[in-house]
Amino acid sequence: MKLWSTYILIFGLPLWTMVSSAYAGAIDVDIPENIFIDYMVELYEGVTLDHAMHADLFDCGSCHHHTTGARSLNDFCAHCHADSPASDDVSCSSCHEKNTGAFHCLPAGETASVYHIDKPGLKGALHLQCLGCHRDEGGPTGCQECHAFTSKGRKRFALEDLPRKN
Amino acid sequence: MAENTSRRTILKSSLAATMATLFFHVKPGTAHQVKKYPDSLGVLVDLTRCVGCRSCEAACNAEQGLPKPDKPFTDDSVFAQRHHGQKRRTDETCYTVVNRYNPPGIEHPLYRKVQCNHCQEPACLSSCFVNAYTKTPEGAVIYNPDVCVGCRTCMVACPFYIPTFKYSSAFAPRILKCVFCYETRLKKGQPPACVEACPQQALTFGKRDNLIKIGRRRIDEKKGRYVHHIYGEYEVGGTSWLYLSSVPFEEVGMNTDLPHQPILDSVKNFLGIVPMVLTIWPALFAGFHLLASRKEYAGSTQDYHDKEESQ
Repeated sequence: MKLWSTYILIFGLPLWTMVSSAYAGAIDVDIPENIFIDYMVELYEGVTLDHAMHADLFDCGSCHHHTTGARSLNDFCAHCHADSPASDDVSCSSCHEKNTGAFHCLPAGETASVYHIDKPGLKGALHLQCLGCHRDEGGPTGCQECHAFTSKGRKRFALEDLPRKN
Repeated sequence: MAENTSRRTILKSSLAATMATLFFHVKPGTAHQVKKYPDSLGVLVDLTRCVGCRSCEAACNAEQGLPKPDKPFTDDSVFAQRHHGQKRRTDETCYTVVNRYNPPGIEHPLYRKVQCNHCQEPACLSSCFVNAYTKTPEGAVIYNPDVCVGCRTCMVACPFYIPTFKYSSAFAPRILKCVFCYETRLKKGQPPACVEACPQQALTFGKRDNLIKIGRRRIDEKKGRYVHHIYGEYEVGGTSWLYLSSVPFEEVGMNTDLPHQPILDSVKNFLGIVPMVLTIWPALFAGFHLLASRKEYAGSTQDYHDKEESQ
């Protein structure tokens, strides 16, 4: 019995500390169940992202880079952000601009100009992140598997004379 | 008699002068300086990002008010279309098309968007003798239909086979090609419609100089993902549209034999002779004709004089 408690003290305590600190950032914050992405409803209807399902299946860092406080999965980012703390706002739109207008890809600010010269806009960021992973993990990859056309979208894609599929 | 001799002397000397000009007056080709457009805008196309959704085609169609396509833009059967064994090309109804390629060694297809590359030193502009083309400081190569005579030399000159002729209105000649949305967007600093529509940000709009930096960064950062070349950085003197690819560019149908010098450099010496030919040849050959028909003419006047005398 004494032996067991010693074992727990030697191995269990550091293990508990490691595990709890690794998940601290993720557990303490309020993780949304679903995220409705509707910032650009024009040609397509909004999309509901099952955030809880994705959070269960994948590391936070696989989508959120280093902003959740988890170690970045990208070695290139890890050069600077290996020990970066969690950001106050981890939503995609807090860094990736909704406005896909002119010069959004250009250097902004002193520090940004060093490494963050190629930050995609919000639409690009979402698609690159989602579709890249969906291809590897077998998620939906066809445009209309996620997006339903609005009537404007059907017109844009020359579909308005054709019968609706769904 | 003295008059005839002097005409011959003139013809002889003009012939000698022409030959001398043609054969000895060829200027040595000097290194051509590509005009720098410090504020030139451009688009970086990343072939590894494109998924062939054809949103750019649909956006271009709407922006430029082009006719409705035969098949909707969601129909991917167009990728299998062939015209004379060639993949789809731009024409009067579409200024941009996306084509699918299956390069050997990779599992998924690659897609490449085709449109005007907006050369720094455009061959279409150099070849146009009525100056219908303009390269704007923003980087767009635009076209003025009012002065166009429909000679279609630009179509022959373009190394990317981009300008297309509106065959449906041959008497009001019109060349149609991507104009970088110059009037509606680029002039105001806005990205062209195709770029704005791209969901994957396979098209990145910005200053050409910055796009080259971004391109180099992507090549460096994602080791092994890209071939070590930004297509369009140097090709034919540099283009405003630049390309990154994961496979050698010839495997996605791009011409990798293009020189780094502008097309103008290859044809400058020849084009220099054209005005000379236009001015000297008519006089020269008129002279030959007069010379050849002189006897006949002299004969006919002699007959006239004989007739006059006999009367």
